[in-house]
Amino acid sequence: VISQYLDSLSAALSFDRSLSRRVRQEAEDHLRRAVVADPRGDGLEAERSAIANFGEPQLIAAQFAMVSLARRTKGVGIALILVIAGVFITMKARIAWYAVMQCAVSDDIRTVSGIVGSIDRYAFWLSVIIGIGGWAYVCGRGIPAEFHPGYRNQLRRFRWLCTAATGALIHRIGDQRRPAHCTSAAWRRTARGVSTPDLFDRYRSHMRRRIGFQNSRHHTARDVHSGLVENLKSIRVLAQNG
Amino acid sequence: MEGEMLKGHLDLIVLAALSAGPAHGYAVIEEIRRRSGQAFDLPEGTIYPALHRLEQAGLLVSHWVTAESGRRRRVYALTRRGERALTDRRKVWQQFSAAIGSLLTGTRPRGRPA
Repeated sequence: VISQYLDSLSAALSFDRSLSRRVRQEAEDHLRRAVVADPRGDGLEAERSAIANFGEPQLIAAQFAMVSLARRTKGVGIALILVIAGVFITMKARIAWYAVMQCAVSDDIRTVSGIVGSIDRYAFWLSVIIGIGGWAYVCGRGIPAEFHPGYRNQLRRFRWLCTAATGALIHRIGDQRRPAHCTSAAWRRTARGVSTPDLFDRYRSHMRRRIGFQNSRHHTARDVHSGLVENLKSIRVLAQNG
Repeated sequence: MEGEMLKGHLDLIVLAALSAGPAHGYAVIEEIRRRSGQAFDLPEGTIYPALHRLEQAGLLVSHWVTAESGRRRRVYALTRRGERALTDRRKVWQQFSAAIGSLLTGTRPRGRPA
């Protein structure tokens, strides 16, 4: 009887496996002790009484859900902060790399610059994927039906916020891929100056030019510097328009 | 006593039960029953979410020990932060209790402005 009860308790706590294992062990120890302490002895009635005193598995799981959610939210928050810090450091590394490239650059470093460029480009897309992944994670977690209505509403609002943020980001990216005739002239003028993908496109074409220079073996770091200058101009336009 | 009344004070009850020393979940329940004169008869399973929540809040620490029976059991103990929290909550409860007592008996609590 106790084993069946523990199985149903584990099933009710299936939204958090590590928590489920720990609670199962604690509950088993508790129930066995309660049976031993029962004056009726180590029988079926004592087991049923111990289980009845312990409570319904669904009700206990609902209380644990809040504990679990709080812990997971904390973990996701820390992960997001680390990812944002990672993106920031990557962007800073790019600027530092440009500064290095203004000096004389050997062919070996140029190979590394390609890797840095890739990190720079893909960091943005990585943040998008992680954002979508975080949203899917929150939506995909099985929250027990007995979850408190107030927390359920909070969770729903959080989902909407994530959806809105991710949607805006996707729209921002997708809009840059739209044909020119779909946008107004004024918007195009602004978008040319301010859009992040546009900066990436400039950077990409700049990298292609550099590869061409590499083949001729008459290149210098000046072309990288000119790319940086172009990007800075774009940022200035952004500041003026903003 | 009404279960709903106890739920609002469960954290304080658990902290007070653990003030005597480290204990596992079953012993905490037994201590609550003993110290309350059997007045507090909670569903025993509800004590564990409270223990986990208090541990997550840093008011308790816990570790596994192996009993003589060979079963593993989790032992909880108050942290210093937990001891401070218990002291603070005890004061708040005593003020609240005095105020309610005065309200019900129709007397004014001592040292309190009207």
